[in-house]
Amino acid sequence: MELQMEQMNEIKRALQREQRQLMLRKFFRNKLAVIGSSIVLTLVLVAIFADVIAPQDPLDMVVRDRLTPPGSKYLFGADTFGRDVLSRVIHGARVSMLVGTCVGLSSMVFGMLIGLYACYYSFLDNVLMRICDGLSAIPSTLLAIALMAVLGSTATNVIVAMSIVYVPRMARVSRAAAMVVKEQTYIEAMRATGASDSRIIWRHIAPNILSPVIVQASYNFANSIITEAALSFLGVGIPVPQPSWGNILNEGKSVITTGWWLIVFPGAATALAVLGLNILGDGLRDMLDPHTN
Amino acid sequence: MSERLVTNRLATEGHASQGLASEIPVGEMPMNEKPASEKPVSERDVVLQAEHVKKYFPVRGLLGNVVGNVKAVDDVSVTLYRGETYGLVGESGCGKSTLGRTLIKLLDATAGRIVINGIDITKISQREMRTTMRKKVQMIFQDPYTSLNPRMRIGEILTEALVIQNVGKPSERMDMVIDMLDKVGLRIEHYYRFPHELSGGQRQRVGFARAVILNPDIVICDEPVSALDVSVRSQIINLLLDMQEARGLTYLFISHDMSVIRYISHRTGVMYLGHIVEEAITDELFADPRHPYTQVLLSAVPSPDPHIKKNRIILEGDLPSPLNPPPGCVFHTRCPGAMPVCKEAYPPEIQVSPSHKVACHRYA
Amino acid sequence: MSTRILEVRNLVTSFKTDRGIMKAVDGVSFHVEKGEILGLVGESGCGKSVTSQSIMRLYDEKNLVRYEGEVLLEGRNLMKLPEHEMQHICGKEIAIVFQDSLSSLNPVFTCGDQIMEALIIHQGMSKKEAKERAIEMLRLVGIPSPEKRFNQYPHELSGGMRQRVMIACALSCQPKLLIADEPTTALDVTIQAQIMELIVELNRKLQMGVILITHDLAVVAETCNRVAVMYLGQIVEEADVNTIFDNPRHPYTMGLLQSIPRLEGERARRLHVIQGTVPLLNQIPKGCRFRPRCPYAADICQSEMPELRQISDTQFVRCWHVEHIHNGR
Repeated sequence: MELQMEQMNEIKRALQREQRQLMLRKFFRNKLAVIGSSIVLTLVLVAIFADVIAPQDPLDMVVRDRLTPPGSKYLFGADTFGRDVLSRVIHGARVSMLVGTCVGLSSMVFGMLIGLYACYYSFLDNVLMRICDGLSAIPSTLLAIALMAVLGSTATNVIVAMSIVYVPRMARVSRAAAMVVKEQTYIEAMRATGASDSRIIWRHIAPNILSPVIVQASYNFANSIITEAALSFLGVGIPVPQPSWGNILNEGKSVITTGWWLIVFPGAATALAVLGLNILGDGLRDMLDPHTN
Repeated sequence: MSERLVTNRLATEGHASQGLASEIPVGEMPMNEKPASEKPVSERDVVLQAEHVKKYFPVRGLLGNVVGNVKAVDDVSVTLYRGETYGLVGESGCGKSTLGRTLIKLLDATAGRIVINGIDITKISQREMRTTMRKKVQMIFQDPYTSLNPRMRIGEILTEALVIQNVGKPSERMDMVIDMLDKVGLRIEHYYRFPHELSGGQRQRVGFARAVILNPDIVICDEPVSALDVSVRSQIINLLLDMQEARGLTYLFISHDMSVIRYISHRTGVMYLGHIVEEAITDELFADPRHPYTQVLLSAVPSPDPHIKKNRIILEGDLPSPLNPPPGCVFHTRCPGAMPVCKEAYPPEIQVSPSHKVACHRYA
Repeated sequence: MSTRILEVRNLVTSFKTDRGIMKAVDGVSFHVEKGEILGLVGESGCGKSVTSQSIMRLYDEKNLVRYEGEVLLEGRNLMKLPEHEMQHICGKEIAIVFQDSLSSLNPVFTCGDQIMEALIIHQGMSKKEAKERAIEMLRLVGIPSPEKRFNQYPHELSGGMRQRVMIACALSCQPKLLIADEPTTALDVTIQAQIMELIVELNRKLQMGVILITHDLAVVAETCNRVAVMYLGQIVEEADVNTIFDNPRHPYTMGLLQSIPRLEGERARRLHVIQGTVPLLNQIPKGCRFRPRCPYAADICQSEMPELRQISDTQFVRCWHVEHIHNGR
């Protein structure tokens, strides 16, 4: 018995080593995953260390430097109040990443919850899915604006409002995936073994719908950055002095003909983040499939 | 050591039978116990008794109203005795799988009584079924590729069964699983493998291990060898037989393959369109089939001997829809010897010998 | 020689995969005579289906697959033909029937349309002629009221009927060679019996060559004239049907025959078992490919691969020990 345990541990270690190598190889062979994750990782680091990286205080106004074009003093130029655009974009990443992460995660959790239970219990299915249909019928930006109008514009409310916007999509995706998994024989096998409903849902169905769910979560992450920018641009998002990519764009729109850098840089940052997340989502989908070794 | 184990990913299936052979010396196995079905009726120990079981699936119209019933299982009575294999044979759509699932309450019976170990499972709730009965009735499935959770390791899959039924202490479970892997002819290094790393035969062994590790009385085998290759199929059949001898398991063996049924089962029932039309001790059924459908079925099975030329009875027409089965005897639309009475009444069950029942007007 | 419809010489089909080049078919040679049914038998992964699809060059040749060897259809080497000429041969001179009739028929066209299509493309018939011929074909394969079935969609038919439509499609252009790839595996025994009977009958009537690919030895015993047993991309034994079943000489053939449960004769207590499992194509053993599972394996089997040797008029065996293993039962 002692020997057997030892043997098991040895096998386990060897397998874990092999699995790690396999995962790493799979990751590095997957160009999408590498590119996507390096973009996203960079943005996350920028967001975390914004205070250190940013050359100036994003709120610091130097009135005589207002609308300075990009140059040696201000790499990305200065805005209408003479604030450094580079520092504002860097700090804006903080808002975007925070909003994106929170919305991505909360929509994933609640969306899966709704999707899984709707799939498993047919009496819930109609109720939950009709609510989701109702929410999906309203254009997402419009819904977000309406919610912000009700909730009031604070950073937390932006997250709450956008989660409500994105949960129905996630619920739909996870319900569809769960419907397929539910029909698999191994779910019936677990019922034959005597597993309770919640055990089947969380331990056997949920892990098997992760691939589409994670992909959808990364798209939600990306879309919520755009929606946040749109809300801030329209003035119902992040309250004004605080920089977010949408705020910067909003302020830049009035001087679009003279101060192009006010539009181009935050716009490029948004595009880069969205691109990176979408690429990462596709890469993750390929990686999470246990069959592609 | 570990490197070799890791690189040698596909274990040879043959070790299985070797491992088992050392475990259970079959040749020397004292055959003092006759299969239950060969004992006189009074001595038999009934594990499952099903009476007049029906399973209808309602068909709903546009407005959600029931417009008809698919009569998948229609008034079937069957008894399983301890330690025997009951073969259930029939073509696709005859309701054999539905019957198997209904007998262990994976589907709720529409009508009838199913008594397992003295408890009528049609009267208890699914929750009660889970906590008290599931351990005793297990199932193995046809498709080895979809019956194992692709994201769980083999060890986890088997441990899961123990955890769900709360068998053993957490510290003992790993040993129990390793022990079980060995018994079904898998090796210790399969513990950490994922299902897709195993061959079809090995997966079927895992599926069987998952059923047997809970020490059940009854195992419903739903076409367990149909998806396997010829050489692997005989390994799995032998494994089922060995395990039955070692543990006194009762099998309900569902198959469309007459040769496999003949080989493995003590008694056999032939199903057609939701009814068991004939039932007998296997040798008797194959030597002297009475029901015209059984005769057709037997004549259609090809023989692996080029010298045997069979006299085929060709069946006319298609299987009628179970949504709207023909009145009277369900087989009369295709029966070569149908009589006027066949269209009017379902034939009574006729005992042609103590161990042979047939539902056909011809013998009335 | 003139009756030889198809001759395959040293066919090698290799696939490029992530794990390197895999030879799914490795040096296969056989022939089909006019009016003959050749059985190609083996377990999954033995290369029997790849062989048949290589004959028709159905795999994408641009990047994934490489063919070597010769496939002679009445003396013409198909491997040397340009792709557009090959398209003309597929369907017209060689036709194939697959296992899965539901996914092989296009669900949005009626059965009649699908038979007519081949006739219009390959035989240049007018629509009216094609329709008449299609109905005639449906009648030939034993479909009752063919005029009605002509306008039905594949999902409206039962499995057996669909397989008949598939056969009608395949036979519509009067091919010289019919490849039936597991035509009855998805069907019930009673339907299987009908379909196999139909194939045998049509083979006699139309005098075409048939390659029947199957894993079911019983089906082979009932329908084929000659049999080639494949294992891991090679033919290990070839003989006429009686010899294969009465006097198999390769340990694999013997093992297969012993491990099938039978309807006749004594019921053995335990079934014969061939040890082990079919290895993956990237783990092909050196020397004789059957060695790891063979009860007669010796040193020479490990070091050198045996050739397919002729041991009688009709029997070829790929084994070092043919002389010693005499009907190993």
